[in-house]
Formats: sequence, C-alpha cells, structure tokens
Amino acid sequence: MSSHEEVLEFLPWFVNGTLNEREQSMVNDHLQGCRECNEEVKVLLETSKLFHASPEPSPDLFGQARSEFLQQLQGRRERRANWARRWMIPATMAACLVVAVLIVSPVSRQEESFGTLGNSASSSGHVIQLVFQPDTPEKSIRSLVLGDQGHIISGPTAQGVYRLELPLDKDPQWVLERLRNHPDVQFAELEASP
Amino acid sequence: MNRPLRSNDIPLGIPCSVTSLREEANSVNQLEISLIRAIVQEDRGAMAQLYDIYYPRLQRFLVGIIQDRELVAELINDVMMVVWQKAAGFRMQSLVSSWIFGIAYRRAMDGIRKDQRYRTVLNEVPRQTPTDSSLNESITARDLNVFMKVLTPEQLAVAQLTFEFGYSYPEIAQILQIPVNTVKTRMFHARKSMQKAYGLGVTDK
Repeated sequence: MSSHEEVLEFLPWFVNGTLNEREQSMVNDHLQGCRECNEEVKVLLETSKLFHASPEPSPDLFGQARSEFLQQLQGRRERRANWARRWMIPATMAACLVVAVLIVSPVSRQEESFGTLGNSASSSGHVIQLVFQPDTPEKSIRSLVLGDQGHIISGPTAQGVYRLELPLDKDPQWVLERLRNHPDVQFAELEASP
Repeated sequence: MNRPLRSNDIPLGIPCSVTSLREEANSVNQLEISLIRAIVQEDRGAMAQLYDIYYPRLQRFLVGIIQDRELVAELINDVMMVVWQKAAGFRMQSLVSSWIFGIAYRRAMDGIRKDQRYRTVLNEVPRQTPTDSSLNESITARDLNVFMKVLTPEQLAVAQLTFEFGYSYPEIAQILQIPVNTVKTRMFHARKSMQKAYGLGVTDK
C-alpha cells in the first residue's frame, strides 16, 4: 500500500483527532503536498458535521422508556425478594432436617463402635475386649482370633478395641491368658457379664 | 492551493487536541467507572444516572442502525439491563462507553438477524442512492437520513462511532469485535457509498 493510500485510509480518524502521534505526523506530512487528500479532509469535515447534527432524543419516549426501565429494576428486586421469602422457610426446614439426620444417625452408629472398655453387649458366649499392638498385620489378628475359634463381633473402635466372642465351650480364662502372652496383644480383658 | 489542513484546524467545536480529548475521555471514564462500581453494589440511583447519560447517546447510535425510535427505546432498555446484570463482570480493560456501545451494537445486530420486527422496519426503509443529490452541495442535517439509507448497518456503525462519537479505529474494532482492517474496509465502503450519494469524497484505490 502506498503512502497516499494509507493516508487516505487514516483520514476519518485524522479528522476526529484519534490517530496516534506517528500516524498523525505521517498524515500531516502527506497533506503538505497532496491536493486530493486535502479535498477529502474537507469532505470528511462536512460529513462529521452532519453526524453531529443528528437529532436529540424525543423527551416523551425517553421519559417513558426510563420509567419502564426503573420499574423493571424494581420488579427484579421484588421478584428476588419474593423468591428468597418463598424458598427461605422450606430451605431452612430442609437444612434443619438434614442436620438432624446427620446428627442422629451417624452418631448413633458411632456409639456402637466407640464402645468403652466397660461396655457390655448381648452375645451368647463370653466376650473379650482386645487391643493389638500398633501396626499388627491383619493376618496375625485373624490367625489369633481363629486360633481361639472365636469371631470378632465389633471393632476396632477409635481406641483400637476389638470385641471377640468366644464359643460357649471355650474357657475364657485360658484364652485370656494365651492372648495376654502374645507379643501382638497390648490389652486383653474379659467383658463383664450382663 | 490552500494551506494543508491539520487536525487542529477542524472547525467543529469538537475538542481537537488529541491530548485534551483523551484527558476528557479519561475523566468521563473515571466517573462512569465509579457508577459501575456502585451498580455492582446494586445501587439503583447509580444505574439511573448511567441510564440518563447513555440513553441519548445510544438512541443516536441505534436509530441509525434500527431506524425506529420505539424499537430503539426497547433495545436501550435491554442494553441497560445487561449493564445492570453484568456490571460485576466488567474488567475495566476498555472504556465503559466502549463496553456499553459494544453491547448495544451486538444486541442491535442480533435483533436484525432474529427479530421479525427489526427486519420489517428495515425493509420499509429503502436503502438506495437518492435521486435528488446535488454535486458539492453543502450537506445539511436533513441529509442524515439519506446517509442512513445508503449505508449498511455495519458501515453506518463504523461511520457513527468515528464521526459522531469520536472513537479511534482500534477502539471501534474493540467495540464491534472485528479486526482493525475490517474497520478500515467498512469505512472505505461507507465513504464510497456517501460519494455515490453526493458525488463527494473518497477516490477508488
């Protein structure tokens, strides 16, 4: 693109005064010797004048549109407030219900598993409360329990307590003695009978 | 040959010094940014203030494109509602006015594409070269309607944003979301159409 064509393209924005310094300087230099571009600037000035003469808005339409717009804004605000009012009570009730369910059901389940050492449970045979050494492998625990032909009826609790139910024909004192002597067992105690 | 024209010679009462123009634009923009911040806080008074500033400007802009004042009033309310809803998303990376004009332009073009009422209005307005043009006759305000009829909505938007609202071509590219070269091309064709209508203006490349 030649300098003349480039300047010709820039002229509308030369007239509105928004060219950057480099572009403006280029146009100014070109206008020194180009009659055609000077004529074009005159036409563009006339054009610009024409656009500035465009009619002002009708006050009636403006007032009506403004009033409708502000009503729309107010309406949106009221709809939001109504929506909040309509949903606030059910939402609060639903939230309360969820909280209540969360409070009641998991804790009631936890209470079973977080039994204390003095806890007793209904089981047919004797029950031994048992705590293994930390990091005792599951295989060792299973082997110890099966060796006594018992089975774990609950645990471990948060304190690591298992409850081991023995068959009726097993002597609990003998089992207890054997468990206490095992290196993987930290604690073993017979649960008090109900 | 007369002394070559310089931008400082422009006798329009428009601020012609680029620096003072920019300073004024920045000052206006600061005020408008403070209004946008208040609008984000759901300040309806600030919204009303912004509405009062922009209604006349948007009307002048949109009447050129849509050519029906009642439809334009409805469209302005849509635009201002978008401003109310999206104010928090305005990132201050452009002038507030560029942002609002951009919304207005896109809404208008959407209307032309999708809304039968817009097409009906535009079809009623003949877009043709006027027969009573007179060579080199001084252009008057009466002729604005003629310009509107010979330019496409896209060309008219570029012409209005340049001559009436004083935007630079990069700002127009940002408002219309088109490349800078497309802005220049639309302006070139707009000037050609005005030349055809009046026997004035740009020569062929």
